Amino acid sequence: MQKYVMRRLLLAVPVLLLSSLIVFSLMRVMPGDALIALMGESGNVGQKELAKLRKDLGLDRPYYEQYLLWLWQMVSLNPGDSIFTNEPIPVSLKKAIPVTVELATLAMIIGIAIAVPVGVLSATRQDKPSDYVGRVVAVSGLSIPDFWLGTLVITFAAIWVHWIPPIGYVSLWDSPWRNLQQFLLPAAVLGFRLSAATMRMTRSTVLETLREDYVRTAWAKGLAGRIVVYKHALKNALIPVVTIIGGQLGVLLAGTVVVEQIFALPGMGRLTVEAILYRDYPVVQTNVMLVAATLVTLNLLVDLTYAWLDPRIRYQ
Amino acid sequence: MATVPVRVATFEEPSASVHRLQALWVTMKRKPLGAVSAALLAVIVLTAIFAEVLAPYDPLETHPEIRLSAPSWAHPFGTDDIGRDVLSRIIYGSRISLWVGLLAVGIGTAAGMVIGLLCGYCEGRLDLIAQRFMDAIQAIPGLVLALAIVSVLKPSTTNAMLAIAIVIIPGNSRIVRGAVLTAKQNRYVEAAQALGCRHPRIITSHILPNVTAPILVIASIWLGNAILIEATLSFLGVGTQPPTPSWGLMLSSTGRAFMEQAPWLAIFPGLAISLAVLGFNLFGDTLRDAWDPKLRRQG
Amino acid sequence: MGATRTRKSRRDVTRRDFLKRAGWTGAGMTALIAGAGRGHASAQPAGAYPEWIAASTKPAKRGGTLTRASAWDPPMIDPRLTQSVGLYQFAGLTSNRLVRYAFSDEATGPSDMSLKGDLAESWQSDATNRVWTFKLRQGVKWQNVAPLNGRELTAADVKYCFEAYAKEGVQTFTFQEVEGMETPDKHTLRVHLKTPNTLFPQNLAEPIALIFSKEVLEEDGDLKKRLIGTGPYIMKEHTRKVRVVLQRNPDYFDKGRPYIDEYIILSTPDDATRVAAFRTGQSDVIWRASVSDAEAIRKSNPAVLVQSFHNTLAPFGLALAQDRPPYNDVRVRRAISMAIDRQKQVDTVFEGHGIPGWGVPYIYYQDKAPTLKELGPWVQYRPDEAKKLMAEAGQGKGFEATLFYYEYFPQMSSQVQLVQQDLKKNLNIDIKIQKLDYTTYYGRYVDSKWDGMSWGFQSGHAIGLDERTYQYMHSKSPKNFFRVNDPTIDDLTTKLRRTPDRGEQRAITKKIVDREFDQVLRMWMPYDNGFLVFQPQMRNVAAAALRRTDGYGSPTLARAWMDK
Repeated sequence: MQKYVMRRLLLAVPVLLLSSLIVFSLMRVMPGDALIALMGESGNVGQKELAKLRKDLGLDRPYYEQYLLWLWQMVSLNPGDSIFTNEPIPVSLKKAIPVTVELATLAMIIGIAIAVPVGVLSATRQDKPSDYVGRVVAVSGLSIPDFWLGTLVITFAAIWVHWIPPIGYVSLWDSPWRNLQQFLLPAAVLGFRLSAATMRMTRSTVLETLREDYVRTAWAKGLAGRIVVYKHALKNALIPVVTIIGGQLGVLLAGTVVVEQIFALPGMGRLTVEAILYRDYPVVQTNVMLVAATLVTLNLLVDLTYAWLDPRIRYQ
Repeated sequence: MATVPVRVATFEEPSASVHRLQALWVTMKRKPLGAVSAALLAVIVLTAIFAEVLAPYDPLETHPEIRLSAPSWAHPFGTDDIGRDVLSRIIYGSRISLWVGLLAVGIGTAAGMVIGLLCGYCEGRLDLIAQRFMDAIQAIPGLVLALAIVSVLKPSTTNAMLAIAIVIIPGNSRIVRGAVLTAKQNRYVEAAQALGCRHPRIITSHILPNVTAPILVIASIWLGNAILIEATLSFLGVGTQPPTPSWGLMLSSTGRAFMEQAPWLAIFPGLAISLAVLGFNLFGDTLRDAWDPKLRRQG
Repeated sequence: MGATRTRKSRRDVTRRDFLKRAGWTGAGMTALIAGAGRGHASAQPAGAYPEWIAASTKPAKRGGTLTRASAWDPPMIDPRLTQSVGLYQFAGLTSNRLVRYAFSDEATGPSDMSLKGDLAESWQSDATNRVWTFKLRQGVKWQNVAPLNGRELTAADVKYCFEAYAKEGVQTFTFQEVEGMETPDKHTLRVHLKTPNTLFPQNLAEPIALIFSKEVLEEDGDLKKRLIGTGPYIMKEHTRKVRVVLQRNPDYFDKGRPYIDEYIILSTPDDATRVAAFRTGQSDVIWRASVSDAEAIRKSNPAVLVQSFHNTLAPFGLALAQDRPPYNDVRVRRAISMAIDRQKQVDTVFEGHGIPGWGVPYIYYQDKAPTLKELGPWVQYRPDEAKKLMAEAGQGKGFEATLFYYEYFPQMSSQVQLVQQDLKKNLNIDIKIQKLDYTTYYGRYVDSKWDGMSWGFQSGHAIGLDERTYQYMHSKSPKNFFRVNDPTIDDLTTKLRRTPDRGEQRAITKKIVDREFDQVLRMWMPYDNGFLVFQPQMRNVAAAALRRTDGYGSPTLARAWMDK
């Protein structure tokens, strides 16, 4: 086991390096740069001034120099400043990460709270109408684009209920009630999608569990037996649910991009996308690497849990 | 986006395609949702193929005088912001969506398969290096990667699909690789090798059949996801170009901009996307029900 | 025309009414569809919304908090390095300029372009229009924030700023005109220009020519961290992507003002969310692009004040790479112009409320807005003539071209596609549309190497005549995005700068415009300045021409108040 972990960790390093190289190259190849975005249609900048501004922002150095500099900054945990806003990147990360973490966590809670009961219900009433309804509702959660759902929610909340989440993010510690109000709707939108995938997974694992002989016996025994079944089915359902949460993390992050924009939350998703659109190289590179490192670590944890639970499974 | 964890099939006798189709047919008969999803997909495919015949108007023809008209007999789905018939655009949109899905998933699957097959069969250093590349791509959040790729290339439907294909490749290659590794352990393959069977033959007749099942399941679900990602890229401003009648563009641009004045501009593309993704997802489920032997036992 | 209209009380427009009209009553799709809409959006009569909300005659009340959900987040707060509206939406309130345009309680209407003194009390030029003398107000204090601590503003401060602007950044063009400056005393600034420019004060009235603090620049090395000025509001908080909070400056030189205690700007990137915020009272000001957009808000919030933001020009037009074939041939340009149905766009996309499009604000050369007929033969929709002219120019068979643009607002995409259709149908020009993200789009402009066509932006937010003529059209100007290269224009725009007489200025400006339209040097496209919607309690918020209250026209909020 230890050898396995060491090997995985060692392999993670070249993977992250490669990822960083990919992102770096992509950003450099994109047309335009942060300076263009900054100019705000002023258009009266002469070539000489443009060159000076570029130099000040470090954009005129050769690519390999820029890459190595950034790599050094990352390794020494000192990522530098945003080209666009001049804010030190650790400062913006410290502000943005809690937002996305809170959003993702709430979304997961909501997602699981919907998915597990519905999944169990669906499984125990397999092929009955409630099963079909559950499955179709779940799959529609996967089929409706996030941005569409988000726009619907915010527009008709304003018109019908005359209330929308208070705009202007406050942190959970500063003002918990206001903060929860701000996160409830966006987390629900994201959670709805998450619940879809999770529900189907729950359903199929519960189905599997229900097939086992001892479970069938317990079920036939009546109420007491059924409680045992529910407990057992639930426990077993949770393991692959954990797996799928790990797998869904990428999806969740994609969803936060859209939802943060619509609900005006200053999270990582919005930070990264806006940085791409404005060619804020250091911010994009640092953010993506942070997320990549997190994903790699999480994947490793999930794989370890899986391998620990089921010794038969050994990935290479 | 859904990821369906596919339990790699424990090796069984190489199933013939006929056997597979039979299994599929049986499953569809027993599970009506499967049949419904197949029918839905058939409708979409047929609409795409026969768009010229089915569409009452030219999807690009503008009549600004009747812009934002509510659904009526003349225009059953209403007209859009420059008076184009929404029904015709939805019909032609099916072609774009299928193109979107097939290109993204086709390339992603094919490339993933090739890489996975090579890695799994050859193992060794090639495997090690290639898998690290795959991991590196997969470590970057999919939407961000797709956004970056499209921003580099000129924004267009095709480029959006290429970007999505690249996002799909690592996952596919990993699944195929796993299937290949499992398949290689089977006695049939050992026997074939002992008999002096050449590599390509082993791959095609013994390994490939076992790999196609999980791949097709994943592919069918990714077909739906590709449509969703294209819509989100359009929302972010880097997707399909006007005046292409892509459902994603229709939903994210005019659908949202005129949501209050003309809700039909969002309802119909939204429905179309949802039904298509629904169909692909349910069909993928059905495929899995039909072909995954473990699940097959569950009846 | 004032804002006095019988306002339906909220009780009258019930939710059911609204839903019925929007078609959402009843379960099921058919009810939804059957009820939705009464056919296509009908063209509102042009006078439905006033173009000017007159200042209130009641005495202003002190107090209150103004909130606004804003589309723009300031990239950085250094005025030397950006002209983005994200900064000036509030920098216009933290800081002053030497001169300014009239506020809404001083102006006679939207077209009132009179200059008033801001930091300067009076100003005049010598006979050559090359030396300008500004007399500063006495007793103007910097905001009481370290390191300024409320000290008095002097002419040396202004000189310092102008020199800094000339040295580096995005405002060099305006200030490099300055040959030298003197401060004979604490409250006098004398500016020597390299060439005569009678319109120089207008350039100083621009929202971007603000006076920043020397101490901050010297202490911090840049202006990216602190924004301290002499203006009516002090920047209390700036949290990126969240909010900007401005607090009333108790020491402001305009005694008794500002009236509103606090102005909070909330960063809200999504349009639907901004509308929702306005509807639920979380935002007090919002801009809408079209009649039906404004109507939709009035339906749910009937008591709001709506001002039709006066159309003095269209900032967007079809830019052709006219320095190379085939667009360097004036016949090709004229033909393309005649093949586009502008009136149709005004009637449909802009619901009758828009203008056919022209570049120089008409108020500089005539009193009334031009009609399509007045703009000359080349903007009339005459497809047959267009075909003939194209054939004459040797392009009768048509050709392919790309058109790139950035979607500033949804109607623009509608227009681009209509133009695509017009040109294909009438001239067999096959246009491939490229909808780009902002940075790519704008990068092509700065590069100036693009080929084909672009749905171009005029390249600036300036109000002054000098900028709108010389800086945008002179062949040597770096702001000349449309690549105008016409000796007559060069002559006329240069001459304009040396013409102090108002009447003559108007005549020369008219000549410039006529030449522009005759040679189709820039092909303006229909546009609608849109509508500004305010919560019912707002007073003195009217937007004068070219100065949106929520954007570059933010200084006018110094006179706004809330009737609550």
